Amino acid sequence: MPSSACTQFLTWFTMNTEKDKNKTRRDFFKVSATVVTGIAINSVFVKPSMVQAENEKENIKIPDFDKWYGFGIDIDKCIGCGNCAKACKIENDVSQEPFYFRSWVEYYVIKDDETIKIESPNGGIDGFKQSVPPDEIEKSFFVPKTCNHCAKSPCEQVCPVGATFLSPEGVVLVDKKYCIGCGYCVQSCPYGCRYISPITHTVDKCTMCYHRLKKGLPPACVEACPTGARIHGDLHDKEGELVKFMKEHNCRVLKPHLNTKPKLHYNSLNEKVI
Amino acid sequence: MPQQVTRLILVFAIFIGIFYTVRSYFVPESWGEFGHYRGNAIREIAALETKYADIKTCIECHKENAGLLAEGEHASIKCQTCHGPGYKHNKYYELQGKSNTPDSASMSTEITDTSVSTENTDTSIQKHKSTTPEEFRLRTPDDRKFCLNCHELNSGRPEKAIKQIDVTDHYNMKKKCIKCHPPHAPNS
Repeated sequence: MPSSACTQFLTWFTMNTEKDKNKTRRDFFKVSATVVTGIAINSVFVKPSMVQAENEKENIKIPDFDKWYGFGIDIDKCIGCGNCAKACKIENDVSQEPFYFRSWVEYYVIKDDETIKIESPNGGIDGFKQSVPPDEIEKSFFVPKTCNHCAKSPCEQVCPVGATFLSPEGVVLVDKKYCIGCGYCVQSCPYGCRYISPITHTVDKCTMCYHRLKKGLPPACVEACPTGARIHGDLHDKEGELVKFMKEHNCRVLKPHLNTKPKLHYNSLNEKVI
Repeated sequence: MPQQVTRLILVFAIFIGIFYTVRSYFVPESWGEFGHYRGNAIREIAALETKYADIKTCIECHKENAGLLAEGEHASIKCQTCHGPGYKHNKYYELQGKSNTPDSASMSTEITDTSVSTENTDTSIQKHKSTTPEEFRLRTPDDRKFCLNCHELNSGRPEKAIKQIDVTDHYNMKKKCIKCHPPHAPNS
């Protein structure tokens, strides 16, 4: 019975193909074989992302499980020029409007009467003017701020859709295609490092210039800093620049009591900095 | 097997089947590759374009100025801090080939403002600038405001980190800073 069905099918097939004189059964098998092989090869060898293949040529792994990135900031070297904040906005297409910052600089003035004035006009991009007369100042300094890329980040924990995550390199990233813009993470960040982008209407934050790191370049803020106050490096690399900086200086992190394990290490950070 | 059990198994099988079909439809392709997120999100972020170039590509053509800078007081400043993001500029000249780049030997100064008539004005850099399409041109800031962004006296600036000037009493306030202090070698 099956053989007769087969014969019937073949007869029908032959009759149909005979209409098209140019094509034979052999041609049909040839085409079929090519298509099937093509699909098989495609599914086995071609990965969904060609980007990955491109970057692997340069021996840069995406992601790299051996790295654990962090930042170092030397307040003794920060002159409050705002070049880091400016470069960050350019590099990452951040809205030029004030109040949207991935990276910004704060100017702390501790007065004689122990009151503290904190300023950050346009995130420090346009520079700072001394607003308190010198005879009233006890101490003043600049504090550059950005995402702390916490190892135990609250923002990652509250995201209801898994759009915020800690990459294997220790960089807190946002999947903009998956973010629903609910703003939970904006509220949960104790360092105020997140905002809802007026352009994409999803959350936006410092990516540690992940796209630059994967091209072997330092983050834009580090590239733009004129005094070398910003240091970026791998915390696993014991001979690296960042680990050396942390060995040579007494570094502190912001809000250590929250146990968020920040990876933004400040040298000469005043206790008044919040 | 009793009939009700068979039916129950059938119902369960259908529900499980539907669940997995729907699940495979809604869960993104690379979900869970590295954790509770889309693995492709990492690749997408890594593929973004840079605006600030690799400093090595600046030095390739501008050797003279890079050399001056490295020896002077401004050694810690990198090209793009003052000149702005240079990826497009460098890419343009990479595609153009090295023929159109400035003659590094004659690029000892960088004053480019044509309104300033000074013996320092270098024709080579001007020519280079005029032949560069506007889109790929880099800024060459020469105004006092730009210099004072870092050098103006401010209580917050660490004295060791930077030389600061009091604008109210510094010599000849109308003159541009770079007339006396060439930015690539500001030792004088």
